[in-house]
Amino acid sequence: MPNLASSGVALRNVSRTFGTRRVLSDIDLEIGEGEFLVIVGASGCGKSTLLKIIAGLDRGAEGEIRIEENRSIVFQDSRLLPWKLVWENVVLGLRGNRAELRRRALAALDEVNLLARADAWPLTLSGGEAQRVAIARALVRTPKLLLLDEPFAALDALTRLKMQQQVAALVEQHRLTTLFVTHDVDEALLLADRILLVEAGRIARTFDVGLNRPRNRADAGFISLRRELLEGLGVSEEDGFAAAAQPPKQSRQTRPLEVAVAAE
Amino acid sequence: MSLATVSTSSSAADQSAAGTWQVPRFVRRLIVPVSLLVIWQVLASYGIINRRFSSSPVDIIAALWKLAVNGQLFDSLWISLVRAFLGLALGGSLGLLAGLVAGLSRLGEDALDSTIQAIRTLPFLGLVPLFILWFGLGETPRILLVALGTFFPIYLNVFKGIRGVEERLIELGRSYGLNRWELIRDIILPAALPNALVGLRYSLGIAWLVLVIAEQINATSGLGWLIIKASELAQTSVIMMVLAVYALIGILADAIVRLIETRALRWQRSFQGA
Repeated sequence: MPNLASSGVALRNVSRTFGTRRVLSDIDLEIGEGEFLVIVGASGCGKSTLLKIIAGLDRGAEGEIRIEENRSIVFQDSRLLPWKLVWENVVLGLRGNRAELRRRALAALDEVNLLARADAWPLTLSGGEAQRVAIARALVRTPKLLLLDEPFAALDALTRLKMQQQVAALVEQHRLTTLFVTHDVDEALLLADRILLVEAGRIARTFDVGLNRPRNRADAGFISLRRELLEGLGVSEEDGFAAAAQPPKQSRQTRPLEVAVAAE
Repeated sequence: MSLATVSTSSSAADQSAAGTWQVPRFVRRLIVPVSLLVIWQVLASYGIINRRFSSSPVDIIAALWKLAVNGQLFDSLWISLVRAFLGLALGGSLGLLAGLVAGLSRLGEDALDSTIQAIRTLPFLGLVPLFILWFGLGETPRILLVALGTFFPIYLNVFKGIRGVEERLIELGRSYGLNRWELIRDIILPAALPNALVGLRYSLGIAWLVLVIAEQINATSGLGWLIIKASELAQTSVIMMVLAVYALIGILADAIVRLIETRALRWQRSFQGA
């Protein structure tokens, strides 16, 4: 088990209700230092609410919550301020000498291979570029805890693959404790040390991903874990209905969980 | 039928390919207004229309020349511009202040908004007699009238701009540790700026409009006074000349704000029109 004493995140018996609707119940969650934890679940299962609680953006939860202060978050939409240049966005909220801030911003942009766009306006960036700026903005403050809320869901499949590799490399290099929320099973398997499957507001299952990195989708271990994970989500790959609803290749690469919802 | 289609399209292609002389766009746009002016002048010259009622382009230019040479035009123009500027500066800055207070805080909105909305429904030009009663016949009522007219567009647009800031950007600012002042400076104000500039454009138009009225009441200077004097002497050409000057200044003011917009909003990559 991960070292819980130095962990950045500890939730015990956490619940969240909106009015009479219980979105999360009895969540126990700890993340070990340097661990890459992925939360997987179908749309509306409560995974985003859980991330919001951990990010400190939702303070209405009950239960015991302890979270690392030094954290940054990457949202699904890049949320760049259009009236600030790319590099100014990267150092948003940081205080200090402007030249020094610029130097730090450039270093962070270099890490995501976007040095050339440092002086561009955000509205001129592509979706993938904007999301890389958002990642640079999260990394520049050297967080202990990195939170990502479906960061690649809005990107095209090809860009998404590149971004997954890049995030995996950056997290390894910076030894970050990472919490990553997604509905993409493949993405989870490519990145995670541990996967939590959230279903109807509860942690339904935990998967330890003991595969070697970098990971290979064709690997036997990958395939069997993938099947297990999909079954946990109620999707069978041989499910004729799911296959008919969307071409199999498409559903495997993009949004398998939504096929599951449709199938139900 | 098909032959005709072929021949027209090929002749158009020939024209552009050979670089045939084409009428420049600005000339094409001038054709209608210039023709109208010429027709107007011809009709006036042959006495078909009454010059006392409608003057003529040549008379108007003559009037412009005369008043420009004796200095009356520029004196009047200057005093009108000063009044417009002072009124706009006063009304605009109060509108900006009120918009910020009401936009940034619930308490400010509750305190100000209903009152301002109530006053806004008054036809403020109807206040002219009251303003004269309260503030006398000097410059004060005129400048205050301009200030009152320009206050509302700025207030409304600043308020709307601030309230229109996307919640997700506020959330971003909060999660990246911006304090209240930084949130206002880095997110709320820049996001509200496009709206505020729209308010400024409206206000400029209104400032000018108010002056036409305000300067016709008991004034002894300004463009509005020039109109009143000309109307007493039945100088149609002077009245029309002053109207043309009003229009020209209006166009110039609008161009200045547009220039400010393209400078201040150069981050926008919005729809440029098709």
